[in-house]
Amino acid sequence: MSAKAPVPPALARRLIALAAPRAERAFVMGDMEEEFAARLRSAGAAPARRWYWRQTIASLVPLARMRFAAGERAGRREWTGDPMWRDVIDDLRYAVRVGRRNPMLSAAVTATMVLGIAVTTAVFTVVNGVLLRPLPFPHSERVVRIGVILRNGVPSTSMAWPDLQDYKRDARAFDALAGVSEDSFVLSGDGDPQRVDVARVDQDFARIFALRPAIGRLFAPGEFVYGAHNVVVLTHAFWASRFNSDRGVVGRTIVLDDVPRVVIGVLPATEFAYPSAGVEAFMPLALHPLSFRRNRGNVWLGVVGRMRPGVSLERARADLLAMAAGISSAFPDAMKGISVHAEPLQVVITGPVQGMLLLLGAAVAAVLLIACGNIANLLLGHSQARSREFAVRAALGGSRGRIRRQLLTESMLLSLAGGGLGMALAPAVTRMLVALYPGGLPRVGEVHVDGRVLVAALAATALAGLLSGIPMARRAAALDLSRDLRDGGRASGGRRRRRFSDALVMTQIAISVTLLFAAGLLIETFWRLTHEDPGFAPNGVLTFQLTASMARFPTDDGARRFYASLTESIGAIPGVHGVGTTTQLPFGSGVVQDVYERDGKNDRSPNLPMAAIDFASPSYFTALGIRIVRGRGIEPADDARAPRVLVIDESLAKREYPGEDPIGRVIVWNNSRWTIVGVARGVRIFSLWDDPSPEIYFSTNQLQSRSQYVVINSDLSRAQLLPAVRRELRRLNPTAALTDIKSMNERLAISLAAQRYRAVLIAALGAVALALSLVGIYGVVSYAVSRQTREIGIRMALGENAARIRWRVVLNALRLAAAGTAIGVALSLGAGKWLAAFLVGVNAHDTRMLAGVGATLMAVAVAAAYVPARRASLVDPAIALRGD
Amino acid sequence: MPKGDFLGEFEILVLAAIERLGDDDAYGVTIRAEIESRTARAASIGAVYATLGRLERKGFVRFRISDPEPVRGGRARKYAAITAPGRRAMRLSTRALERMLDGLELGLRPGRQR
Repeated sequence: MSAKAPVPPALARRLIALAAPRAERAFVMGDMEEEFAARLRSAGAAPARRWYWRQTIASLVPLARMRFAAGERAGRREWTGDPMWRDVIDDLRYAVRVGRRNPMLSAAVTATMVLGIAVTTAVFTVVNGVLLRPLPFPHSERVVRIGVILRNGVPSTSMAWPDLQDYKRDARAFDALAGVSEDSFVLSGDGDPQRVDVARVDQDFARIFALRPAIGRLFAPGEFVYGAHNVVVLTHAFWASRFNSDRGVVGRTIVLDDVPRVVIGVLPATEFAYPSAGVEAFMPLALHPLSFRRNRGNVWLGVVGRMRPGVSLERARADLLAMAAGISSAFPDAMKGISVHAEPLQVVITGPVQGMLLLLGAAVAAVLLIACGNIANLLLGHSQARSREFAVRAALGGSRGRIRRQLLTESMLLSLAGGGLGMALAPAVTRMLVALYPGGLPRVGEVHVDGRVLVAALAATALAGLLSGIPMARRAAALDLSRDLRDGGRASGGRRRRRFSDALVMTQIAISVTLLFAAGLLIETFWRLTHEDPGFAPNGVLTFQLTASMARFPTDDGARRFYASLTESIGAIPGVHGVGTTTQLPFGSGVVQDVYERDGKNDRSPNLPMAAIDFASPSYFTALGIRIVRGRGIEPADDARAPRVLVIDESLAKREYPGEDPIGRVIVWNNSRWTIVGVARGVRIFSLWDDPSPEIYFSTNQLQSRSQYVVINSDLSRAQLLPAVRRELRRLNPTAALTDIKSMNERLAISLAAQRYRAVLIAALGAVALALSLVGIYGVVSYAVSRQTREIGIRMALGENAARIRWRVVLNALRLAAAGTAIGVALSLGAGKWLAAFLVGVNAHDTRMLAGVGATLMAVAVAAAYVPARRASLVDPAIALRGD
Repeated sequence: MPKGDFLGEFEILVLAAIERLGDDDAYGVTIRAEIESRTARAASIGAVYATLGRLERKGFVRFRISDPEPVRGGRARKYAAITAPGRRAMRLSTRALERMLDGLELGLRPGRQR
């Protein structure tokens, strides 16, 4: 949201505010904003933002000068009297002069720094916005999500309705507990029918999240009673997008699932919403007095609680556990063996992306480190050429500390220049990172540059400046006056400098090896997953979700007939080979799992097995290409009058009937007995890396769900097929909305998006690391060659041939590469344990991959050394020896 | 004549822009736009303000803060007007320039460009 909003770039505004003299600030910024607004109208957002940035950059120096001059006039220059500050100013002036005198060096250092800081700042911006900042409502750190732990030990994100009422009455660790349930409705009326994501909330929900209406009101206590008139509160975003921010909507009636409901309020614009970022409207949670949702054993309600001030998470958990134990002994039938767990809401929301963001952060930090290494080497080489200058300064009485400070000032100035530009670029990089993030980053609206990001970026810049300047400063302080004055540093520097450069390059290579190894493993994971068999045939299959509302189809039979006629009429479209419906589409939304029982076991143990529950139409199996491996599939004759049947999948057959024929056996589910008539191939329904999960298919003619996926297998493109489908649907049910329209191949691609993102980003960072290391090796080798010119000349004069000299140089590089690779291998093996969480079917200690990466680095080292090696072999001994 | 009475080039541009715009319409945005459109030379708001500040100290311009605009979030503007000494200094500087350039053939006049 903040990325595209038509406001001036926040960072640029801040820079202007910083630079402008206090008295002028309001006027300068007002003028900038005025012209920005004019350009926004005439040219659009992007050009206007660009203009604002250009203006900012051009204005900073004049404004800062003006401010400085104002301070001077006001007599605020007393600090210049302090000799230390005078030194700093002198150092700065000198550093600027040095930088100007060596434009190539300054440009190289600055450019490296710009890249490093831009990427680091961008990643930190994301990490900060998503992981570090507290959730944006008061006392968010005290809010936890509570769910039960099922008998089989699986934690659930929900609990039963009566449990929550007991907790509300008895919990002492919490000052509020609220129930929330996600639901979706179809909004009809003016315009196309549209799916609306709704949260049903109880009377305590608004208090926990400090919700207040922007327009109208929130729910009154009487509206949480079943049978009260239907009311709805809209989120700001939904109000803006669907109702064009029309204040008149409040008080009006809208039709959701064919039921009229009154809009009573609109929430303020916010970047955060619970239970999901996409929630569009809120309704009161009110249950029918006889609803099966009031059952003890029915776990369906999401619960959040706010701990009392000063109560620790541990105490709150202990409180909940004690109450859960009480409930399960009071209601052993439903609740025996069921426990409870609570997690901080922040962990719930950001937990899934934490590992990914930290991986990214570590990779970026590694690249920044390599970049610092390169800068350090560049500066070190440069300082070599200035040995005579330092010697002269020392001879004239300049202390070593003073020279050291001067050099650090130079490297700091360069890194600050690069870092400043890098920070200016960071918002653009951030936007790119966020836009590329698969499946949407949680809290993405809250990702922007704030004070903490600026401080971190400045700290990274300063650290980078120090890291890259210290080697040079240390080296300069180790002067040998007589020698340096005599030969101007040409033959000096010696072993110490070389050892240090070598160490730097080895570190770079080691880090590159680790990054490339990680990238290799991630790419292999991605490749393997794309070649994994999902258990169905995704090609040419288009799917969408559909709901037959209670209001339009009051009886289950009506809904059944609707789906049957829709299937039939879609099947009649030329080019369509098969149409089926299912409640449990692989890689679709929502998964229903439930416990079942093998007949005869009569097992009331807490460990009843679970399976995915699917109501499928007869043609579903062929439409999605799921093979029936034994017996038969669901058939049209399996209707309400016929015997109750079901089809299980291979993994359930293997688990329950190993080595036996399951056909004809009976499974008890939902208090009824069902006979197994067939076994279908195992299908991966959650992800390509989990094994097919046990699944039970019931006949859609014996059990009916109102919300179903329609699966269409055809030769038609989406553009050809969808209009025809919509035509048929309008005829049968004009207020139904198609939602979640995707081909099966798209669903598979989306399920792998995180793997792809990881693989691509880490590979890109690995490539940058490799390129930087290449430059690093080249720099060190080529410096060594230039320093050894005389030695090479002597060797040649003594008859050593060019090939041998080339080999000697290359060997030197190989030695470095080998040492660096060895360290990198050790690092990689260490990192492997940590990486394993991101890998599927790939060994985190894959030795072949390691060997490949090592060989790559060696090859790169040879390539980097080749140019200087050639130069060495072309040394003319006569000139080399005369040179001194 | 003290040196401070002569104007720099950008100062002349800014004063000329104020003169063209009139006292009631010369503020940061319009001055900048006037210079950019007439000289085809980029001018930043920062530079305009810095120059205006300098001119005020020399007593060549004075400022008038407008009432906030009568719209939501409306702001006050800082309008500039040339003072009598300012006008004198401009005359002085441009005349000096004219005298220096008089009779020189710089290929600058319209129709005589290479």
